[in-house]
Amino acid sequence: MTEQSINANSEVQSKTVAKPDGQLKGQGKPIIPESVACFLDSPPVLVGEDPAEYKRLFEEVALAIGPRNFIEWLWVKDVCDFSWDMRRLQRLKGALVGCGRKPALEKILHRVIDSKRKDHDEQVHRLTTNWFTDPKVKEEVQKILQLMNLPEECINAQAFSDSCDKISKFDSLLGNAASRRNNALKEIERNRASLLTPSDEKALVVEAAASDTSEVPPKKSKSSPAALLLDLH
Amino acid sequence: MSSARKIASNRRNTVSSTGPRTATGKLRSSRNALRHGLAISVALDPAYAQDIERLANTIAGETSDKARLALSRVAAEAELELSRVRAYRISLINSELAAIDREAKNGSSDADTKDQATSYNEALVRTIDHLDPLERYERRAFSRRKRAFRDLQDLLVQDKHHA
Repeated sequence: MTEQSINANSEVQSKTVAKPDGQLKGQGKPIIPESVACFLDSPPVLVGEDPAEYKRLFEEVALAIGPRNFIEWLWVKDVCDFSWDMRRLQRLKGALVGCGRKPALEKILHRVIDSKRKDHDEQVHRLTTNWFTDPKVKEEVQKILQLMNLPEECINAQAFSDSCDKISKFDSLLGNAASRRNNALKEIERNRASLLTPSDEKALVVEAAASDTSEVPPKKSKSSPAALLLDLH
Repeated sequence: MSSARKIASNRRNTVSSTGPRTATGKLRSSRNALRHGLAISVALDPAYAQDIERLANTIAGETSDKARLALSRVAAEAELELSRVRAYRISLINSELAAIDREAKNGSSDADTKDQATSYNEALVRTIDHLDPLERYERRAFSRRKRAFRDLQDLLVQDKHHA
């Protein structure tokens, strides 16, 4: 080790805060213990999702919570996993109605175009397939709908109606993920509260009494899991 | 926190109100474990034995306390059950994504509307009916792990106050 690297190490250490179990909290990136780092080897990402993005989220959550032992690191992973699930579900729920527009349009056109026409099925297929890309076909569909006194919004309405079941299942999955993420945060708070000794509690009371004399109300600690909950929302 | 009385009451209630009742239902549910394996506890699967021990030792830390080790083992089993459910969910959706990709390449679906978000959506929509039952396994494992962690933490608090 050179003198330069020793000095660099000291500089890093003087900027960091030592945690009770020896984990150093650096500026910008948490130091993840080896026993936890293995979780990042197989992140719960779908094909096409970015594992580096998941790792960034994990580091953000770890920095905000500041886990003090292995159990808290498992809760950090839970918060990260459920947050990741929620982001995915919210994104996809938004696209769900969009996904259903083509079958919705097909359904409507089957009903409004004269079924006695010999080329009925061909017409429906041609209009449905090209409605997304061809402005002339879009105009043609609009005229057909107007003849039946139907606004173009009916396509979205049909797509929404067809997707109602799925949307409510998405909502249920979202609700479950949110609830479990909140539980994980509450467990961290509960764990920390239960580990306070009577002398710790006394010190907190004294601190609270001292801070009452200031004019500015004390801010909620950024590392409070509950505060994190608000931030992540 | 649930009291011992509440826990006992919950256990009594589950005996009378859950699970299949007809012969068909019982036969169907008896095959659940063979379909995805999630109904079989990791504790009974030899493939998980080493992982359970390793994880339990990490959770327990440096200790020879039998009670702590036993609770850590329960927590480790529950943690691995959770990982297993999550991994299965991801593989289910990934398989569906691969199927959609194959269909698009074979021209058996309309490739012009197949951007990534659409593919993900379709994969989720196709698998959503299978994701529902997984919620139950996840909920059970999560609850079991939470209880084990709480019991461990109560033990630590007791030791701290006696020290």
